[in-house]
Amino acid sequence: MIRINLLNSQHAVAHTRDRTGETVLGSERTVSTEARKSSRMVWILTVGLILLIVGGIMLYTKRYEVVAYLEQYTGPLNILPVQEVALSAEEIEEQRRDKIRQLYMTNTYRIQGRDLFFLSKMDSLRGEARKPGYPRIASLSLEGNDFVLDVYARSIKEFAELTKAVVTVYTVEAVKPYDPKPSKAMAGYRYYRPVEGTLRIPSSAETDTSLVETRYASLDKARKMVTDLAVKNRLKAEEQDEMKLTKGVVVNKYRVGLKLEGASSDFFKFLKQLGALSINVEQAKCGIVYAEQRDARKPRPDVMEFDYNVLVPVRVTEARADSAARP
Amino acid sequence: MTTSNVESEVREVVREDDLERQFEERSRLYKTLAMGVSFSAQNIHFAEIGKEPSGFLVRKYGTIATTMKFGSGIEGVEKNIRDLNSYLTGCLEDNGIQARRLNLSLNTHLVSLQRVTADAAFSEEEFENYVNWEFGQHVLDGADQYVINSCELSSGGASHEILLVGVRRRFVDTLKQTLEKSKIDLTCMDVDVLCAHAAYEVNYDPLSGGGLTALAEVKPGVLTILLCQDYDVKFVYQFPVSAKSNPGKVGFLLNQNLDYLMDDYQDESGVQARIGRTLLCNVLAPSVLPHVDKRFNPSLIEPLRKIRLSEDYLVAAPRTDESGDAPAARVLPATDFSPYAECFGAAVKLLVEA
Repeated sequence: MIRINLLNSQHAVAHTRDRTGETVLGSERTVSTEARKSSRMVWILTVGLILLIVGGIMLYTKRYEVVAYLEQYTGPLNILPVQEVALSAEEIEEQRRDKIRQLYMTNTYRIQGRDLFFLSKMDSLRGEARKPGYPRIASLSLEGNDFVLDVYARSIKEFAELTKAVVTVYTVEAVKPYDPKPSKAMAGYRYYRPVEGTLRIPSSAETDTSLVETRYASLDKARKMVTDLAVKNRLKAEEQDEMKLTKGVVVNKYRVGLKLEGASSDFFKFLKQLGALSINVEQAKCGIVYAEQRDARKPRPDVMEFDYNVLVPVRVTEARADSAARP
Repeated sequence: MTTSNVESEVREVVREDDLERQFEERSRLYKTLAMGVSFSAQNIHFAEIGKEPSGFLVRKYGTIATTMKFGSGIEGVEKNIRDLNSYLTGCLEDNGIQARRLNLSLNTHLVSLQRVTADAAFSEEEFENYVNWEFGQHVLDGADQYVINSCELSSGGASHEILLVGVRRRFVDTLKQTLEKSKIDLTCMDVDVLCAHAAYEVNYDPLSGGGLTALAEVKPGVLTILLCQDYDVKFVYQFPVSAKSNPGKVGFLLNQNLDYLMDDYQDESGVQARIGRTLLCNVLAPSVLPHVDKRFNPSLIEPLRKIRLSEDYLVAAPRTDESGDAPAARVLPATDFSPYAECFGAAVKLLVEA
């Protein structure tokens, strides 16, 4: 007869000692190990929950700073209501100046767009000079709204067609005709006549919705950006040493002269890209002297004179300190 | 010595005699009576068996229908079998059971049964390690979560045949906790198929032709076969069957596996043998019996072949013309007693051990 009694185990199972020194069965050890694991998990979850709550509270209190930080990379998120806080007089003044600066810069970009349009149009007119019976534009210059073209022609009649073409350009407000003079400055051309005129002032931005966001770079950084951009566009850039400062209430203007050498088409690319950067750079003067190409195998570079202003904002606190330091 | 002193001394002697007699009576009951309980589906089968000089006598037996579905693992959760104590207490009181010892037979499929071979030269420690390792190969959890018993089936030569029986510790603990307040001592916990084997051993003689006896426990979910040479278990074979298989399918599987079993046995022992008889027990036995191949000489286990049934349960034999006016003989009722094989076997095992 097979005799067994399952009430008691005939065979010893692995025993071990627990922390209190009492022997425990493996199964009991398993239970206590599981209990310890569960207890540890509860602790981890509790600490995690507390951290989550603290993090949530901190995030809520700093929500405007966090969103402002994120908006640097993502653009306006508009996920928080406008913060209505009592601003100090200084902050209000700073906001007002910001608004002025923005308006100014927005108008500057518009003017630069107009200038680029005009310059490229004139450049295309110069291309027409290859046609027989068409005058030659030796240089062009634009400062503010005023422009000057140096034109050479073989006969006096040729000037009329060019003048007509310039007048019909949309951005040109008026042209002052001068009498043609005989000249031997340009080989093959007998007459010289400057074409002076003014450009239309573009409509200015008046509402907040039309404002363009400007990235304000420091003076050095802005200069470096401009020079790098020119070099990138295969232009030889040489910055003039002299730099003129015009102090203002809202912005200080640092006028920088830049002499560029290269193809005029690259110069226009440079201008276009500079406009797209939307940085605190204002185009002040732009002149192109077209080189006379005598040998197609040895192209001579055009010379461009490009003056620009770097607009450095004047903060209220800086202005106050400056005036206090003045005797 | 005064009269009163004499009276008190006599009274003391009488009282001591009574106590001694009571103690002897209890001791006799303890030694000669045992109760076996087995679970089958939703029923509890119980039997109280007495050991007499003429053999074993079933004094009480019966079935209690419950709402518990035994063998499904509910034995491991105390709240699921909380009522078991009430059922058992009610059974003891209603049937006037005098036994003080109980052997509880567990469903076979709650138990892991393995027949292994151990080296005879093993030291005690080596044997312990070997048993734990061997048992661990057959269960998913650690062997320490089981109560493991082993029983030597046969010994000879350089190895021993060992039967390893293991049950989850929580089943044992739960049943012990549930029944600890009962009026009867849970003395032993056994397994259905081994109790059926005990019933077979007590009731059947060895086969005269020398064939093997297959004791097949047929129940939904698992089928267990003990292949016995006389009473020695030579093979333990368990295989699962679908709980929803019909009796025909179970019979087919049984036939098939008995053939495999014999092939294995012959390969291992190198002896040409045949199955002389197949004894079916447990729930599905009556329904599967018609589907078992006649080659295996199948029959339901008869637990009352040699064990006698109390006169109270016997019925008058039908009269024949030859019997004349003689009082009618008392015979067993025409009932299938095979469901009680496990509980009878469980009780008998306690008495044999005593």
